[in-house]
Amino acid sequence: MKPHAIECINISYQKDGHLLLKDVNLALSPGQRVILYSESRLAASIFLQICGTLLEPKTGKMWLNGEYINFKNERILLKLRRKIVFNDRRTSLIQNLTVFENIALSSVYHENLSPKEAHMLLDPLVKMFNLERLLPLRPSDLDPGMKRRILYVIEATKKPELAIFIQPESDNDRPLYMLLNYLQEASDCACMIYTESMSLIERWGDEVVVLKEGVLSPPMDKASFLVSLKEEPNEKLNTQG
Amino acid sequence: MINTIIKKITYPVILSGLFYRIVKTMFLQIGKGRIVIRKTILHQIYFCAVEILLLLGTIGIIFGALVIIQSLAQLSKVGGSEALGQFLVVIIIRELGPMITAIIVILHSGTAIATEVGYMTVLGDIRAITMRGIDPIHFVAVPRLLGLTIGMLSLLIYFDVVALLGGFLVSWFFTGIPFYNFIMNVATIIGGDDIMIGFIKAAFFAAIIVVICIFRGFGVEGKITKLPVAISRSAIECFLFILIVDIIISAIFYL
Repeated sequence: MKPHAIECINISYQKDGHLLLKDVNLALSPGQRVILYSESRLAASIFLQICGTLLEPKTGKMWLNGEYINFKNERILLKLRRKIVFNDRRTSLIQNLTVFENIALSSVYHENLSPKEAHMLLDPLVKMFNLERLLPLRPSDLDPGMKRRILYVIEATKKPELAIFIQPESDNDRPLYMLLNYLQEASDCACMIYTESMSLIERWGDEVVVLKEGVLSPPMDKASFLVSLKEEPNEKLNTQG
Repeated sequence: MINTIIKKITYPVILSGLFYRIVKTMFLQIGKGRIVIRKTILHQIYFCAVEILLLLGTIGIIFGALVIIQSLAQLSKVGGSEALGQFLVVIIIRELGPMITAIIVILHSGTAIATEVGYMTVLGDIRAITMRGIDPIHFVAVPRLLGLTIGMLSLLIYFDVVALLGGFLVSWFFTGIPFYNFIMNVATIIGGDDIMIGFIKAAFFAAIIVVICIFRGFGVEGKITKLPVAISRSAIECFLFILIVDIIISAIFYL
């Protein structure tokens, strides 16, 4: 039996005296597609940063693909981050590298491929996202839409166990769906998206977890969640699931 | 007030810790990402050393000439003009060479490193590097330390040679000393120790410049307004720490 893509037990996080996460438990299996719905952007962002190993929780334990996450060991964290796609609005390209160097960096660095070998390896992805003409440019030459597509290709070059997206830029963004589908087909990774976009929830999520007042609900069926939203707009963040 | 004093006292310890981390990372991750790292090292050597050859050469000739002019003025009073070479060796190779080279490198490359790393922090490059499973210390600090150290050592040799040449030109102009005599005069005085101590100083200075500038650059923490302060602080601190280390090394080897 395959281990959970991510498993969190009793995760808590406090900031400036406010308890943002209270004993949060979550387990995602490989291939599971979950939408995170939260009234607090801060709490959702912090929870997903913890899942992405970018923040250490105050209490609790976490496993990624069965491997215990020791937040004190930077080398292990770096190794684990190669298995995680983490995309939020702060995710950026490296400014002094060209688009191609940005895309090929992981392959060139971790696998010691030559730029030519990396080009051959990544060519299908570059074509899939229609980036051929952008390869020699630098990030400062690009508009936000182009940058987003390049970031998606960079994420696609990973073979992740877990993909995390925090409020993707546009809910009708075709490259986003291309990436999500590619990630699932290529590596069967679990995927968690924090969004308030109904179209994204309807189009892509299988299940929804609701984070309210620091407490995370168990995953609920998407259809039930949408019905509960329509029926009880004031109680839409019911944590009982 | 007490906090400020404690911060000032612990600052060299923090810098030593960062230096240890850079060196440890360099050995632990040897060979990793060698294409990218090698490219950055070469770029660093080019930027830190090759780009300032003309400037440093001009400064070297001027300093060599100045030392000889001052020495001539004093030595001719006591009839010791033949000791010119000795003066050059003592002043240029032992002290001024490493110091002037370090100051030029701080102004040209140290501030550039602090600015670049500061921008990388502000613009999210460091986060992007981390999210790709790459250690920023290995990707950013290690090639800069290696590149700057190689560059500093090369620049020191270059500065010493050019300054001696400048000294010779002035000596020849005023005293008509032949080149062979001048070189022999220098060669009999200069010792292997002098060259080695110059290299030791240059290596220490390079480490100080890189560690302080990287530390200040990382310390910008996403706030662009902190960048100018970080740059000016890094330059001042580099200069101060280099003076202190210079005195310590000179005292250890020459007293």
